[in-house]
Amino acid sequence: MVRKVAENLVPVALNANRIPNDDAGRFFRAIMQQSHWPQGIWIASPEGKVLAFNYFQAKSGEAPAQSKARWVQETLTAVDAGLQAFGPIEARRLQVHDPMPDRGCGYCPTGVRLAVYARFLKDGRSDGDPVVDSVTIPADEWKPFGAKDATVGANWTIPETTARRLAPVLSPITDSIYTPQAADAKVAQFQARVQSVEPERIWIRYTGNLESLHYRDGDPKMPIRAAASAEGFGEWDRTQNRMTALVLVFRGSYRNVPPWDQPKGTGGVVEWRLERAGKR
Amino acid sequence: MTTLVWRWVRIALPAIAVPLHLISSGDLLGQPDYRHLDAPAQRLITAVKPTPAELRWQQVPWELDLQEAIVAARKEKRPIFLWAAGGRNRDGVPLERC
Repeated sequence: MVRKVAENLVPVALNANRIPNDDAGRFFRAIMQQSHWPQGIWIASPEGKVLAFNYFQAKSGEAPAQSKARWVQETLTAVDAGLQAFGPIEARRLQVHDPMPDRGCGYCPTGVRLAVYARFLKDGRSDGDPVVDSVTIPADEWKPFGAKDATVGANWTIPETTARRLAPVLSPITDSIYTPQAADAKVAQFQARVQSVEPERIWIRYTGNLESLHYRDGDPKMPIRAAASAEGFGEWDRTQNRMTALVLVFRGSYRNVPPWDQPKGTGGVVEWRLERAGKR
Repeated sequence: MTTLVWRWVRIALPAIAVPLHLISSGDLLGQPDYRHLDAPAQRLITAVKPTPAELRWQQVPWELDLQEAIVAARKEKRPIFLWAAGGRNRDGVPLERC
């Protein structure tokens, strides 16, 4: 399916809730309105005519593997129907294309965009689909992650305002309405300590704790509680006086809304590096 | 015979060692070097981060710029694959948590 979509179509990912009010936004809104449905997959002509549409609906009692297989099949059926309706086309010349080049790498216009991963864990092993997300740290808040002192044992605190921004890593659910945000953090404590000093770099060790209380859809009857402890390291380039890498690892638990509020084990990873060496 | 084997080792070792080092240090994967974490933390990273198979959808050349997508579709005379998600005031784009 990946190859079929990549070679034949112009793939667009769109937040249906954030469609811009410009010509391009109106073009895509008009496509969606032809199917009278706010989410899904559309195959449309360059002029905006819908050639095929599918909205995947979960079935009660269906196993996750079966559900995934059905999603793939339904999507392929829609793609094939759309391509057939459009007519013959030449295979696209594939080019390397990363729509989020600053995710977990380098600098973004407002600071640093840390790559975030999270997942339910059972007995230390992955249990379910991974979350792929990111958290942006504003440029002026990025500085405290770096080394202030090239003395082993020197320590300092990451400001709570900054630590709170990491709250989304607490949620192993891919739907953002189940995800705590910075304002939901009840505890956000992070300490940094110089672990070792080399001629060209300083290794920094981080430890911390996060706890959050988030209400799904802002409803007080839908509390979601999550907590995790964190550890990690940072790499500071002494010659250029800047961070070159950061990794934070989280171990915690997540309690969904009642009645699904039994605590479940979770893991999270937040990472960033200055230089891009390959595809993430 | 011993000389022949040793010659091959001398040729092959750097060819193997460099990629192995790059992989172990994360360079080829575009990720930080995890060797500064203890073994349990490294195992947790392995359990949490998506496998290459779970990230195959990233091989799709997704376009987030809507105008760019329209221009490309018209120029290349090919259909658009629109994936729309979100709603209920969700933020972000479907390529991440949304």
